[in-house]
Amino acid sequence: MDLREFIDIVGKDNVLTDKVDVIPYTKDASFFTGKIPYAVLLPQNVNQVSSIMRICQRDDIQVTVRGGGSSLTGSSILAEEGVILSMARFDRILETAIEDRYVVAEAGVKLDYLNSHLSKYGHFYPPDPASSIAATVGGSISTNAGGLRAAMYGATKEWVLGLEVVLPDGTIIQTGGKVLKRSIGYDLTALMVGSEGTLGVITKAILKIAPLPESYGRIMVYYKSIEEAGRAISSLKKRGITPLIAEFMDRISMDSITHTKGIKFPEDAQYLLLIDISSTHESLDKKLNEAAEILKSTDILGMRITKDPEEMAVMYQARKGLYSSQLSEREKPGEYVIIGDIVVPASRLPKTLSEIKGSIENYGLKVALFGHIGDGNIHANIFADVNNSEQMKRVNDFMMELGRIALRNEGSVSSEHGIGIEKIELLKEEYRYKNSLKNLDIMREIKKIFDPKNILNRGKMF
Amino acid sequence: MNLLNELMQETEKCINCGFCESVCPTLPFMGYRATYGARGRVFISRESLRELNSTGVISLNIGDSIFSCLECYACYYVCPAGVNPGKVSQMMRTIINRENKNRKNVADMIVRAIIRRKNPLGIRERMSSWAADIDFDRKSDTLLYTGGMYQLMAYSSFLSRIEGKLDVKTVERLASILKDKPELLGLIAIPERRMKERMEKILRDIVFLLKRSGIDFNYLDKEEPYSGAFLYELGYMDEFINYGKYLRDLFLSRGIKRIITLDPHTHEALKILYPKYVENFNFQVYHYLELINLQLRKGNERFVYHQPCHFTMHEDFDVPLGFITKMGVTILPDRNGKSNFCCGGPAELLYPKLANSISNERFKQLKEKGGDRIITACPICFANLSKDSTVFDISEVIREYLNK
Ligand SMILES: Cc1cc2nc3c(=O)[nH]c(=O)nc-3n(C[C@H](O)[C@H](O)[C@H](O)COP(=O)(O)OP(=O)(O)OC[C@H]3O[C@@H](n4cnc5c(N)ncnc54)[C@H](O)[C@@H]3O)c2cc1C
Ligand code: SF4
Ligand code: SF4
Repeated sequence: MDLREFIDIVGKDNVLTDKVDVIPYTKDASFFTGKIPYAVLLPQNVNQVSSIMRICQRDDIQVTVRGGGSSLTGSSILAEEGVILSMARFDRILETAIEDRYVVAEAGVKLDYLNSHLSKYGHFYPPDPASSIAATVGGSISTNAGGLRAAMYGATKEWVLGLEVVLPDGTIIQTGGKVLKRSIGYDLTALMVGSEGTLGVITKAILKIAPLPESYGRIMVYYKSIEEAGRAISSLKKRGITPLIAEFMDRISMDSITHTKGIKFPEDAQYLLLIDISSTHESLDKKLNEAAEILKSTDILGMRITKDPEEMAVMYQARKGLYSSQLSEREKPGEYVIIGDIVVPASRLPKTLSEIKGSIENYGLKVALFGHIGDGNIHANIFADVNNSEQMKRVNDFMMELGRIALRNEGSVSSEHGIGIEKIELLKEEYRYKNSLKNLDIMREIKKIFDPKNILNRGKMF
Repeated sequence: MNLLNELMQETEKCINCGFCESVCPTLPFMGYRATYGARGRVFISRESLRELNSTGVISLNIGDSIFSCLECYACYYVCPAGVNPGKVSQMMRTIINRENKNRKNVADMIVRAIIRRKNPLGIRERMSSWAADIDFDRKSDTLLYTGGMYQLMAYSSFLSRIEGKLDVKTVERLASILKDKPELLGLIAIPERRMKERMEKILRDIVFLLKRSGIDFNYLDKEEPYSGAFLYELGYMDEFINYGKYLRDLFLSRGIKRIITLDPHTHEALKILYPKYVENFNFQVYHYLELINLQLRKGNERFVYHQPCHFTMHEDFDVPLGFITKMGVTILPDRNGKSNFCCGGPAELLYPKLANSISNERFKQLKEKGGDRIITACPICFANLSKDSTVFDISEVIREYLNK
């Protein structure tokens, strides 16, 4: 491939071709391995991206955009031969408008960095995937990332006001803007959210921000039965209480935290619910008590309420680092923890959870259950040796079954990690189940309008 | 477990999440090329080890990626899988040094000077001029051991400035000539006068504080060898172990039982590393701040503390922080302790431009905290961060704050 034009655009140092420089881009956080890129391009401004895309479209060169490369579904590696467009050098926060409640950031800004900047102004950007240290503004928008706080604040899509996007032919467009609402036809900003780098390259985003909650407290409740834990959330919701955070984890997860962080849990507890309630200083106690009373009406084994910031921080970090704790439970290095990610309406949680439990037994796998239960999001983390084909077949079958359980319970096969390579079949399954395969046709047509030569992230999603 | 197996186990644990990459100081300053970040280092190490295991060779050019790691461990503290990319880099250097292909001449040059002349720049005899008029207790079984670290900074900052003006290839070519003639190295090792004076003052301040605390000690003057820390950091493990034996025998021959160290690198080598790798390396090792027991004034000055990475790595050595808090108001930078940001110093001799960019960034972070002075407790950090007159070594400030 002739790289001279790329070198003219971004400079020699920003066109990587040596094997040692390009092979790290064959992996993201999924268990897939991508094709070795012809080159990795590191542009720094929108005009450079535009010139690059124009050449790629002209010469039919496959492009996969890469943000933090923390995707769990193989969406940020090359499924077919081509180049990687790294957004790493788009690392600036351009504008912070507290009064108008927005921030403008380049696509490569990491979410934790953004929030550490906003905290100086008493504000924050709520989407907080557990990978927020590595996930970028562009990557999290492209996967519509969720997180712990989605229970109250919703997923990324609620927080994107506008975008700067480079289309495959090099055109630069601005979608949305700096106002909180508008009504101007099709919502192209929304269309870009969750598009997994298949429609355009996001270079800049205008994001809504919120004041940090004044105060909050935590209730930890233990259960013997999974249905009862599910029932607790639907009871809270029924009574109009929306927790700031509502997480759950099973015994395998609790044990992994005990092993890695030394935090102990009651021995008979099979499930833990971790619920944060936010409020003004004055009414926090009242709100916490209200929630506690509702939870007590379910069949609980024990409960702890705390407002101690240190105690809450320890447990928050333990929950955010739960995946890490589970990694340390792997029987051998090289074994993966493959993350199942489904969502159902809160009222369906008890039934869904018990169906998943049954299915785990059928497939004979070691699976840890936990998730952002506040918005009905369940993660089923499967311990698997990717080199063991028999076991991987069972893992794949279980993943399909997990998706079907979600669908039977009026949910979805992917809650927040996207489709990538991993869930192509599951996406079809969802629309087949809903008698809406036409949706996929519409998506393909939209893709054609944006990307007629199909150069962006080919082999993903459909 | 042998080195290869240990490394394979460590790198196979990695799940490629990129958490480490987000905190790795070398990544942004090497143009965000993944190979120069923590995740990339683990990845190319794993690939190289697999290749080495199956074919007996490493074909990738991994040298610059692995040698540009600062071994600051910021990556390790955030890794969800418990991988330590900094340690991986250190161990990979040993593989590289054994393999021969990706070796760095500058590293070889420093290592040979240490082995043959007991000093990274081959100038051991120049390390003791600061102590000319100090009375040491020649019979004491306690040794004040500088390892030449503070003194060397005057020379290394000069060298890195020259290197910074040359391209990496020229420096490597020069080093390939000099590595066989460590005695010539001394000819181009010219100290920066102001840095030399400052470092010598710091050493005298430390001696003053120890003596004021009633502690007697000996000093090896012109015979004082370097600690060998570089050998470990650059991955020359066989050489490191042999050097440790040499130090052990030297100390024993002088009847030394207790050793007082002054800087984090020497302290770590003597207190943690040699006892682990060298038989019968059993001295009582203290950092000088652990021994100082003096009344200090409390003031209103606001001190921004840059904690040296090597004070966090093996144990949380927070004695300096205790002193700072006693003297004034402590301000910690956003990245500190287990979310540290290195001063860039470890890259100074091999990658001076990288070191300079990182130290500029760190200096900016420290300045942004708006304190009156910046304090550190390591000669490498000090030399790399002293970009204006507000940067101090902790010993200087303690001396100022002594109750008269
Ligand atoms: C330990 C761990 C925990 C996680 N926890 C969560 C969680 O709690 N919630 C959650 O939602 N996800 C989670 N994830 C998944 C993942 O981190 C998120 O989806 C994240 O938002 C991806 O961001 P990224 O910058 O790493 O994107 P990448 O992985 O780089 O890319 C993801 C997709 O976005 C596209 N893309 C990236 N940048 C751009 C751009 N500028 N323009 C156009 N397309 C772009 C890519 O092509 C790719 O298709 C987790 C991952 C890990 C490893
Ligand atoms: S943080 Fe750990 S697991 Fe993640 S990429 Fe780095 S070394 Fe690998
Ligand atoms: S030790 Fe420091 S420089 Fe080396 S990989 Fe880790 S964070 Fe980067």
